[in-house]
Amino acid sequence: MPQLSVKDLVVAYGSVVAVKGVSFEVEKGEFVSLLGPSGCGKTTTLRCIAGLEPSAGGTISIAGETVAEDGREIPPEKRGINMVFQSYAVWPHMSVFDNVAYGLRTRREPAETIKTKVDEALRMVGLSGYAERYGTELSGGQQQRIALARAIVTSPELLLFDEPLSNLDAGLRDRMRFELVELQRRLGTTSLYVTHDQSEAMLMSDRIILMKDGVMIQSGTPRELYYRPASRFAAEFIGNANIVEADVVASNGDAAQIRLPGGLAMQGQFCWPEHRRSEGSVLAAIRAESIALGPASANTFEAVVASVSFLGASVNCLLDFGGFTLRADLPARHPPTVGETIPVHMEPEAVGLIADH
Amino acid sequence: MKAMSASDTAWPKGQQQGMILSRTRQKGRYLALSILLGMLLGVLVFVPVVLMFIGAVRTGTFVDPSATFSPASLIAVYATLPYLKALGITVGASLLVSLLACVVGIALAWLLARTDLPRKGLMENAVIAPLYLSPFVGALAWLVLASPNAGIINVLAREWFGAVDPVINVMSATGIILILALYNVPYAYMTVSSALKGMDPSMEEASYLNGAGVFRTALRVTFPVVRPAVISAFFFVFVLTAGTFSIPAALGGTQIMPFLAVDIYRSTATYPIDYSRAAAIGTLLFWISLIGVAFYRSASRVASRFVTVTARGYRTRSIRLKGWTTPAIALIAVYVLLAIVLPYLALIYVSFTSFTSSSVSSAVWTLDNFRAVVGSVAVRSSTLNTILVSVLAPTLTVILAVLLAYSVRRLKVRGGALLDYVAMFPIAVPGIVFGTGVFWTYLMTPVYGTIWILILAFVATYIPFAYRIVDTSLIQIDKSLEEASTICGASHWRTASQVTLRLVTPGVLSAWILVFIFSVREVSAAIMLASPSNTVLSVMSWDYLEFGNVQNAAIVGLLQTALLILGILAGRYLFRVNLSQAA
Repeated sequence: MPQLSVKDLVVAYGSVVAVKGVSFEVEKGEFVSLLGPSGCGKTTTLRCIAGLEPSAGGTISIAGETVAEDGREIPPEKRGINMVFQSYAVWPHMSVFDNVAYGLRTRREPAETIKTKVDEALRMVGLSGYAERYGTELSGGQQQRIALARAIVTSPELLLFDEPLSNLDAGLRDRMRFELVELQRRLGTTSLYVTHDQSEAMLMSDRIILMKDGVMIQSGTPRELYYRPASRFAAEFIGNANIVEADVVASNGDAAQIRLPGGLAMQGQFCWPEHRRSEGSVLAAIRAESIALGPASANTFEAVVASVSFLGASVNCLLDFGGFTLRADLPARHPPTVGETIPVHMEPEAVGLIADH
Repeated sequence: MKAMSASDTAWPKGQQQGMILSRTRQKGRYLALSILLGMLLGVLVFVPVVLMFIGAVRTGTFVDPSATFSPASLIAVYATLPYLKALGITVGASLLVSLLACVVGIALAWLLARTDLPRKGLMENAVIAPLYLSPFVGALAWLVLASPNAGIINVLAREWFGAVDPVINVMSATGIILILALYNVPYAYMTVSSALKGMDPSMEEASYLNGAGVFRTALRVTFPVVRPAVISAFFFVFVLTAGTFSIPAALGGTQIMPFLAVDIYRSTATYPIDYSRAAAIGTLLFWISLIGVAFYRSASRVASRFVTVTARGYRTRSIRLKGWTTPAIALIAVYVLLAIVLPYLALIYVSFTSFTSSSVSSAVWTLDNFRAVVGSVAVRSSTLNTILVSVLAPTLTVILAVLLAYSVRRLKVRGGALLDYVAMFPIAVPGIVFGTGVFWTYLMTPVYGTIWILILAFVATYIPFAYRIVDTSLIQIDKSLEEASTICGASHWRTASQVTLRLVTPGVLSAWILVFIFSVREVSAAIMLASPSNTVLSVMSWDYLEFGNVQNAAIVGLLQTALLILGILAGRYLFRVNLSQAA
């Protein structure tokens, strides 16, 4: 039985439908991210699961208990879950200890148990010794740790994260990502994490649910989403792949021969069996890093270098294949020069074919 | 300026010198501006207060050649029982009023900011509305409604239920305190409401997710977070109430409940007239206000630290009232009924019925009284005076406020912090105290007895409100909008007039309307400075009441209200002023 189950969730504000029939499940102990651009409905979905936003239709169950169904809702305080907010939401009038103890005191747990649990939670987030301080005296990163301690101390059935790291500095954000994942793995708390940052989602999640315009686009492991995008949006949003329109010339199972603009022939591979076809138009998704210098046994082409941008570890080059262009990440040592004609190749498995328009 | 100094080194020698030269010249000009504004504010604000203190140790006014220095009035006021008793009662009653106003204000603010009540916009306007009406006219109306013998409610109780004793008596200490609280609720409401709206909604959401229900969340999270705002509202209402003249004076004066503000007026209006004692009481009231304002300021500072607005505007979850909806609406309806509906119905009733009617239900409706009063020369000239004062005072106040705010914020004149302080100082000076000071200051000048003395007093009393609004809207203008204009080659003056002033226009209009409202309804300062040639409607209504002519007082009160409503509607629909933002 999944720890969280969302079925046909619909959320509407007046005439605007923000979430249009979203369904997914999260298994016990799993870390799942809702990923998408702003306005895609990911935060609304999360807030509905928390009970902070009313749903217009669909069912939400947490740990086997239905908490929302056909507009009937169990209030958030009775859902047995907890949440980490983007704005930290550390109460300014309480000490760090009181902030973390709040949920336990609401449950009327005995004072000694509260003391033990709060101390343990503060130790886990690295805030031992800060118990008597006030949250507003601490830095943003420390406040976010208080919020985290406050959320894990109640041992929730489900832990929700609403872009918890987006208000932090870049360096701190990177460190917190690792700490958060490590903590989640150790506690095994089922987690649902909302973010618009694809690298954050890739790094942290067991599984990513990609959303756009209130609809689920694709769901899968980070690897799956990266290597087997099911749509143009998925290929572009995650890893920003090159997309070229092409025609299928011949196909055999997953493998296919395609013709690109300008008449160039290329070998590629369908990402998903249901996309297979032996004719008609497809999209070829080619990652910038899968284009390599020099000739190979298949898919070798001549390209004119249109521009070169130095990125440090690599150079990002715009390559003109006569009819279409591709961005390629090439080694920064001995980079090509603009105007030069160079041989490049890409493996057929790295040319993902998508039947999506 | 900043951009220039940053690139100083890049300029050729000669040009650099020229720029330094022009900069020092500019600084010099700003210094002159700063001194000019400082002197203007000093004369407007400080001189009256200082002269009031001097007046308190004189035996007579400055035009009285036989007057000498004497501590007699000060001793009488600061060390004898009647005044100490009045002091105790003023402070005690004001604290009680603040408490009542805050309790009701918090309840209303929470209901309108956090629950799923229907028609919230309309209800909020109804709750704020008393702010724009004259508290004096409100008190007058309650006198009509609930005076022990002739009050409409008591008359009806006798007629319908055969009640022998008055069922409600507004001419009592309880009555005065309740009416004071009634008209101060909007101030408490607005402070608490803006704190609630400015609070990060996640604070409460985090509480729900930690298992706390609506009641526990309100008690343990919402209220503690807005507590500094509540405290600042409490002291704001305290300062306002302690200096209020209109309501305690209208409902009973010194006989029923001694009140310092009323004592000031009585010292100058009843024999033996003693201007020195008025000044001495004024100084006493001044100290109380100063203490109240000190508390208010420190609480406001904490409040602004506590308010944390997040960038993302997620709607706060509305708490479902379910069965409580009806009681909640009833609470708001009762408030509006008591503060607006009943009072104005009563005023309309007295104004348009024949005075000889024996019972309320069989009253004869007539326009005769209204026509007679409105047609009289005295009312006509005081209407004209009111219009003049209430157009000139806000205009001058706003001009001064814009000059001040622009000098302090944008030109960063030397002594800006001091100017800011002086401009906010009148907050601590109740209108009646200021009236006393202005009286002492201008008695020997030709402005005494003209409408200009009122305008002087009003500009000084209301400059803090106008200055604060204009200053706030100036702060909100991104500096880069002005810098963009300068980069495009516009002169300083062109940038100020084409960009800055255009952008603060909404704030300026709000400030104008607010001071307009204050000027129309002001009684206390006006009454201290009144003379036959500068009577305004509020003073006229007060005079009628003093002579026992409640009907004429009510008619003039209605006239004044009509003027207020006209001004507010013009502001709202002609200039699109957001009034709830103004106050």
